[in-house]
Amino acid sequence: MSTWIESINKMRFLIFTAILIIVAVTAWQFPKVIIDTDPENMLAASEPVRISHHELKKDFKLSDLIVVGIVNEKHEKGVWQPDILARVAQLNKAILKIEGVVKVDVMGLSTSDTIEAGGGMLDIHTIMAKAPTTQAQADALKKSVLSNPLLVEKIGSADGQGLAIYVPIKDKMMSYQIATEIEALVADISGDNARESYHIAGLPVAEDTFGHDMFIQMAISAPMAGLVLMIMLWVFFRQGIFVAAPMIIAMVAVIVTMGTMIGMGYSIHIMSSMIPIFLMPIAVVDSVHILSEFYDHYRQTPDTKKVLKRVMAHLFKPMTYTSLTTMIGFGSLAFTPIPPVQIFGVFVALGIFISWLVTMLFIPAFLMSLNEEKLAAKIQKHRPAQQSSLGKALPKIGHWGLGRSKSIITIMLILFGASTYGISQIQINDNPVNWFKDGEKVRIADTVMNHHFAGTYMAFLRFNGEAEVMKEPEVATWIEGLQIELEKQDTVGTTSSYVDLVKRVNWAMHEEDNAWDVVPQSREEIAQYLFLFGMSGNPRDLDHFLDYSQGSSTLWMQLSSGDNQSMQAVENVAEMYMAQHPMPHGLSREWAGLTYINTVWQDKMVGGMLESLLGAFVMVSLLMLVLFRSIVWTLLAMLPLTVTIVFSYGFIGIIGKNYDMPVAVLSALALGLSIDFAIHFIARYRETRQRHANMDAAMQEMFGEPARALAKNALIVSIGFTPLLFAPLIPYVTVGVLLATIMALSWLTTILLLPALIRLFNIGEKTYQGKES
Amino acid sequence: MKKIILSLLLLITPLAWAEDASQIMEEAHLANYYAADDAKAHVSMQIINSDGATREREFTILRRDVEDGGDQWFYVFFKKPSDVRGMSFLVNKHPHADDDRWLFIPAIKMIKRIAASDARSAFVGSDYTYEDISGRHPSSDSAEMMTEESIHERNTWKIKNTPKTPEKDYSYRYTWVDQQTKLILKEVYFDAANTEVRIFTNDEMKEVNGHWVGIAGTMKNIELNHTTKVRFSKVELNLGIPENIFSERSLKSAPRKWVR
Repeated sequence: MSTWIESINKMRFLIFTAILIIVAVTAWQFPKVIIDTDPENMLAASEPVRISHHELKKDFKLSDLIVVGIVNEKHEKGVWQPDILARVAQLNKAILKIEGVVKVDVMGLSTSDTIEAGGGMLDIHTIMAKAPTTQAQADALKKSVLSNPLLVEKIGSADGQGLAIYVPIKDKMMSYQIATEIEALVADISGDNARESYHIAGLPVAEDTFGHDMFIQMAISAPMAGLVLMIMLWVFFRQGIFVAAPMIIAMVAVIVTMGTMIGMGYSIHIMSSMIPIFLMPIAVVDSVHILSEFYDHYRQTPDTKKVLKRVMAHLFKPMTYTSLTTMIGFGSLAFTPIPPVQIFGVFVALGIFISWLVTMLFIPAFLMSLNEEKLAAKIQKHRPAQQSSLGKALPKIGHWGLGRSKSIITIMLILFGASTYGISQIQINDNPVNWFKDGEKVRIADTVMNHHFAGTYMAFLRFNGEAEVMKEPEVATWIEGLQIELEKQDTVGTTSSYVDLVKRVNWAMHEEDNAWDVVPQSREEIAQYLFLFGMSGNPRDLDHFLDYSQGSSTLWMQLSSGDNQSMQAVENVAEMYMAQHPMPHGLSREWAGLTYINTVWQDKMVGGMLESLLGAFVMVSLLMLVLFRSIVWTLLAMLPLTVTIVFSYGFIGIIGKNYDMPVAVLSALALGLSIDFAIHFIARYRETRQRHANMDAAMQEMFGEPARALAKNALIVSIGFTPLLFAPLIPYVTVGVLLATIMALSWLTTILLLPALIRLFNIGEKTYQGKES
Repeated sequence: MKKIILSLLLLITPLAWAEDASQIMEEAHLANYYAADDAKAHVSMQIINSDGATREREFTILRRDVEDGGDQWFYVFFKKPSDVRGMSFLVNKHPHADDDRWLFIPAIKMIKRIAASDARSAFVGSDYTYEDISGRHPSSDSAEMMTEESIHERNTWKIKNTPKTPEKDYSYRYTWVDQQTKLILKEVYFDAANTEVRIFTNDEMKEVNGHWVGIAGTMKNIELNHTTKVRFSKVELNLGIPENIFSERSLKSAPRKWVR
């Protein structure tokens, strides 16, 4: 170690220059940044469900949808009043002119067709070619729309209070921009005294808005995290240079990691946007350990080199191992089947490696470049660390804990039991709309729209068979049966298929007699009704349900909830029906739709995370075996983090918080981070114990400087994550709260549970017995 | 004096051209939609979507003019797709009012009147509108002569036609009228943003009984990348198709002689 410190001293300018060059080169990559806010990318592009989703969109000319809702809950006539309808017509037409809108497919009163039959005449026409001028006309229009099964709950709400315009968009990445343009149109058209309110909903809007907010989030939280770190470092050291050194490490780690990621062409996804915030507190931890000890020893021996050699000698191993375990925790994410999570894990691991390397080279070089006399003067004038409030409190905590070993262990066991129950109660669920806080526009729109209408969450079932098979009455009847079954579900607002169109034409051909609102029982009849439908109005309307070969069709499902659990319930009902009623004519089925895709990656995530957690657990245990060369110490080292993870997830289960993406990702990370305390504690304890006659004396020393360093470490990491609490987006808040809790918990279990166990079971005492006598 | 003559000339020239353009559109209308007094043709239609998937339609079409440039009767008998064979369609076209349309559905042996308030809706699910098939009356547009151009070595007039009452699917169109036959060789439809939305091309023409008729055409919808190709075969003119062929009776039971 001492030759190493000497060589660093000689090469320190080389070290500074090298760091500067690497930082410059990686920072140069930043302008190449690509942002990716598409949750679909949670799955690899080759994932079967993504491929079938894209084929479905292509084959049936489907686009992602923004839903514009117009609601009037106050007036008894609801939205069916001439002035409101005139504004809706104006908005509907204006939307057609927005760039990126698939205008032929915009569905609304002024753009969609309806089939009616009156006076022996079949009439397929635009629902509202002209806005009504009298209330009587408005009432008539309302009656015709709300009595039409193809329109009610879709274009007009059954309660008469809402209207919807479905705006298909060419690319879902344009949805935020299109939604903003629609808002501007609304402001323009509705003016100040409109009696109706306007809402913009739909999964693409939620997802794209999230991406937009993510930017703001990064711009606020990352600098805030930096500021919080600086304040904490100041509180600990009260020396500008001792604040600057760790901050430099944090900056270097963040810039080099992000620069490398961007330079390699990886896009910034919701996960990787969190890298800077994760990296900063973790990056400074090693330097805080060094500086903390350096600070304490320098007071007695004001000789930089000498103190450094001593500090580095006993910190090198634990620091290296803690960095390694943290890298394993994050690195294990590389084994999850979710690309953005993999990238996140790998690059945070890289960042931790960079910070370890830079800490080992830069901190000694930095300290040795300082003027000894000035440094001595600065540190001397400061009160000793033992007299700080932390320095006073820790020995008390240690003493208190050691005196109650049995109670602590009993309490931990009870909590452990409660937590296992909690874990059994965990609800696996996610919903992109819940990523926004209550009161956000997107959430309000979601609530309002899904209250009045069938639902804004789209899922699709595609049926494939031989060409023209969809015209078989058996097939149409089977699909109708499935639709009836699905619509019994609370969350399924409505379903639509070509069968609905056929039934509607049948009904219209027979003078609107409801007895004819059924599936015709001859192939020719179905074929001719489809032909008739395609002959009149917009042929694209049929293309969305039936392909050109008439061998494939889609069943649209509109769900009123974006919860993955709702989607899964719908899937179960459909699969059950298909098991009980085998598909006729050798049809096959495929699921698609954004709502469905979300459930697929959730499944992968849950399974994948469990694997990565177990993998990381095994690897970290092996590493501990190598470090401590003792099974007992390894078990002891793994205990605090096990307890912490079980407590945290038990807590999540008990309070009923959904196990969603951020929660899942955290498990492996928590493992990598929370083992650090145990490593530092055990390594130091074993070293200290050798220098002391008995356990008590060793423990007493442990609650001095080593405990202070651990406490600083815990405080930095947990407080370092708190800026996430102020994020406008829930997943970031979740990550912040959980990580802070996990860090605090694992620190507490380390300093309470480990001494208690060591004392109770006399762990390691056999080794030292010879020395005592 | 010279100045006055010059400015008069300047005033008159555009007026003269405008008159010419309307005149040409009138002649083109007659040449394209009213050739001879009646007509019969076998039509095959290919509707090709953006992925290249194709829908086929085959039908026989009969036409009888009541008056040149005025009312006309059409009778359409579908032969393919096979499960719609026998569906037939009768249209009484009124240039200045909604057409009358009747449809026969053989599966339920029922004739249904079909409302025809929108002449710009798609004809049998193709990229052609009803109006493209039966002709848009020139009085609906204001015509403006743009220039003379040559298309496939044929001299044409390029005329800008702007609907007098706005249409929902386009703002104006350029029409290229062949100077010799008065057939429309090409038409390009533009939206309000001056973007091309649809293109019609006359792909082949032929002289039948002294009348030039287009026998192959393509209509392409640019936005949807959707194309319909039409080919007329067995075109016959001035057959003396009786008036009573254009009746409900023909819908229910096709006049064999005329739809073969």
